[in-house]
Amino acid sequence: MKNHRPQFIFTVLALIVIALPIAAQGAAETSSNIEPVVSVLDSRGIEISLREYPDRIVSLSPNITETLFALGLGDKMVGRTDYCDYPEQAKSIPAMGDLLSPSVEKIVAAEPDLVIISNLGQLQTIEAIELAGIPVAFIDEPQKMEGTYRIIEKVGALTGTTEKANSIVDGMQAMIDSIEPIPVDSRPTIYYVAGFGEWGDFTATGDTFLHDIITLAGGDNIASEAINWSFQLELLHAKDPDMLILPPLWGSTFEETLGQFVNHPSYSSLSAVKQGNIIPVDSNMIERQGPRSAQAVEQLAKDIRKFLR
Amino acid sequence: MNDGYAMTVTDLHWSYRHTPLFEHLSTRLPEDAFISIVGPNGSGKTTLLRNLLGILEPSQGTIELFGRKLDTYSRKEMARKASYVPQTSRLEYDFSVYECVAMGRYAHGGRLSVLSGEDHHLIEDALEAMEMSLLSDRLATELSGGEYQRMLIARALAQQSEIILLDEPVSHLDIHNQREILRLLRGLVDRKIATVVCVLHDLNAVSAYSDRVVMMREGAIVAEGTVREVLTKARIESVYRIEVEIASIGDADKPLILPCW
Amino acid sequence: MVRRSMLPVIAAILLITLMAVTASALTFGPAGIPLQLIDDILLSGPTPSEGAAYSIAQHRIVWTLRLPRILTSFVAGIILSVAGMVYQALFRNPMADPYVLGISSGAAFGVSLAAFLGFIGGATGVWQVPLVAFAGAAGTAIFIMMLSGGVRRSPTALLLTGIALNFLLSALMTLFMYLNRAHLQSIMQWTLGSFGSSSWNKLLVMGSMGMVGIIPIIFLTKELDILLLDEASARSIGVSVKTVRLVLLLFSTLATAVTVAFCGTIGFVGLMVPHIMRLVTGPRHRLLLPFSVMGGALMMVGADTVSRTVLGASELPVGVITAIAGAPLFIILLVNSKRSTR
Repeated sequence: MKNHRPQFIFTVLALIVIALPIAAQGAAETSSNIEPVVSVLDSRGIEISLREYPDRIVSLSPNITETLFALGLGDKMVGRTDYCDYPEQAKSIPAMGDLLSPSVEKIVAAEPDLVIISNLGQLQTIEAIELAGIPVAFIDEPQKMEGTYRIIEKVGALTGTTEKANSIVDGMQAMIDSIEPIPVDSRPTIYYVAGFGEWGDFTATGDTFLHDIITLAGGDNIASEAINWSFQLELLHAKDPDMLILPPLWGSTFEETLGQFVNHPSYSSLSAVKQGNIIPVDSNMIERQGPRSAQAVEQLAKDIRKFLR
Repeated sequence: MNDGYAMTVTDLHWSYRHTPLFEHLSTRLPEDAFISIVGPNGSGKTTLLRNLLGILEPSQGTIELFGRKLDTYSRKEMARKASYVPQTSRLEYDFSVYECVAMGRYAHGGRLSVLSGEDHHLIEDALEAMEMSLLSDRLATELSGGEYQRMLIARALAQQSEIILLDEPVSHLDIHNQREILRLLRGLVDRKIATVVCVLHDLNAVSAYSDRVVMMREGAIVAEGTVREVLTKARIESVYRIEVEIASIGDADKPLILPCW
Repeated sequence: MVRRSMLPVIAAILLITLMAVTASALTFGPAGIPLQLIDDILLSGPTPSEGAAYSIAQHRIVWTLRLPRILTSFVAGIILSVAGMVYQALFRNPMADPYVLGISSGAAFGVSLAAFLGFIGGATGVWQVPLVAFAGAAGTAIFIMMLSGGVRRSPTALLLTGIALNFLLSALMTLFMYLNRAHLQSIMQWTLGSFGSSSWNKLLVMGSMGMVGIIPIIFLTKELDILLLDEASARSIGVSVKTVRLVLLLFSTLATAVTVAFCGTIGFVGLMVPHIMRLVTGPRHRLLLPFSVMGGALMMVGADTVSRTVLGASELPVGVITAIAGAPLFIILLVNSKRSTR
């Protein structure tokens, strides 16, 4: 009798070897037919495409952190920068480092589904994280209130919270629209003291977001023609603004900053100083392009109207 | 007390970084003489000159300049007594010959940099003595080797010092310039303008011009005296470790030294 | 070098240009004050007159902002170019500038250390920053002098020690600023140099200390010439080389440190002005000094005026302008000098 066993086994094996890839191919095709849930272009024009809404998010910018919390995604955050300090709950999220060079190791170890970074960050950071296979969304919008809305909308799109994002933006828009406009010739002249004295005179020049906030609040920023935060002291004296906005400067409290400023011989003769028209301001709230920006405008608008009365 | 000696060195000790060079070195240099210091390379000739000028300080011993200890002189006083012509280190700056020679007047000047009429006279005289008058407006950087050397000597002359110490002033010059300069120096001694102390390599030049020879080897003075006393065949051969022949052409007091190449 | 006979002419031209530039600098500025008013303001004196055509702000701008600023740049230009001249003679090196002994890096280090320790902040009084800057500058210079064995050793040893310390301090400063980013921009801006925070009080301090440092140099021009020779020659000519070197070093360093403390590090003036003037006057310091004084003042007042006017409402740091003007000038000089040695 001839032994047909080997032939039989061989045939079965051959069939399996042929059938398996075909089956796998079929399976693959079915799974790749699933649409990405997120398909958004970041500010570099790179498409961020995610199969599921991100459940673990790292934010590398304070304004992004604020936006995420406003969108109700605070509990999905697994990483922030050292400077992300609002809201209070943000402080309990593990910090990944500073704005310029956060610890990529820490970020990768946190296993995020998405990392969001703003124009405060560096290209190297983005590249390093992407190399680890983690998607990074770079969000950089114009330094205007419109730009702020875009930022919130983009973050919403990336996280599947577009409805909430839109309602935040609508709310901000409404808040700003509800501010009674002041006729152009009645607007008080304003100067934002971003830096003074030995370090040089720096202000919210026309190319900054702060300038937009001041203008929306009904102020006339005397530094609108200047660029790159730099302003000449003699222009400050020539224009002698009605009001000064004074954020607390690095290493000092508001009281210390105020004390040094009003007593400094270069500034003590300004009308706003003599009449005490100096507005304190939370520099974080007013400088960050985020959900509190409309609030910043409203607050400033109130202070301006108080002055006008 | 002066007693005819320009400089007296007593028991000099000098070390370079803990390695002693001079030990118990003593000598006396008479006034109004042309004194040559000779010796193989490294025997300490330049170091001795610098000690004599107070540029280097001995660890022990005294040096007297015209009977007075060296350290009792101020820098300016010292400069009025002794001047120095170093081995040429060329100046890279565009001073004119006149300005360079004028620097020699420093020790005689006041606080402000104004040269008096007398200063100018002395500078002009010095230039003339060194046959440099026609070159006085030339830039120092444009001079030939011989001219540069003459300028340095003119500067020392302008300093009006009683002693001029020169470190190999003619070693790199052609024989014509060598003779010219040595002649000029000899003239200064003959006219009792200065005492000349000169480090020289060419033993024949030494023979032709010196009143007194000081021979050194390895930091010690091995012989001093007249040319005939010092420049003997035996001595030269032992100090320089080369065979020589001594010949006499003309003046018996000025022998010719012929190395056996 | 230019012919002797031409020198008085050139000096006159230089002086007239300097006076013209300084005077007209008063008329420049974004506040746009008309010439006629500036005349009135100057004639009124330091306190504004009643019922004048100009506003109080305009008067204030001219008297408390522009005038002290222009004079400060004038004085700073003199100090830096004379110090540069001295250093170039002391080190027998035409590449030496007033910052070669660590004054600029020392000042910046002092400032960044003080900021790091919280001694100065974004809001700081008028004198704190100049004080810590001066302490850093003077401290560094003294440290370098002691480290290199003082002037007893060769100037080269001093120079090399200065270079080494410059590197070390820059590294430390970078470390401090990295650890505390908030300060970084402010301090970087400060190091670029500016006359923007000038005042009469500061001018008084800087001017008097600076002049204490610079005026003695007038009496040492002969010595400066002789120091260019080799050391043995200089000594034998009668110059107390060690003493003179020390005096020159201390005075120049003091004057430079005080300037850096108030104005930041403004480069190129100390290097270029004596260099350029030497091409005109030759190496004799008796001529080089007055020409460097005029040239330094002219360059600095000019640079500061440009810094205040080129960007309109904004200001360009004056150190940027001296660098932009200085660098090509430097290259031209280098090319020319190569040609002449052929």
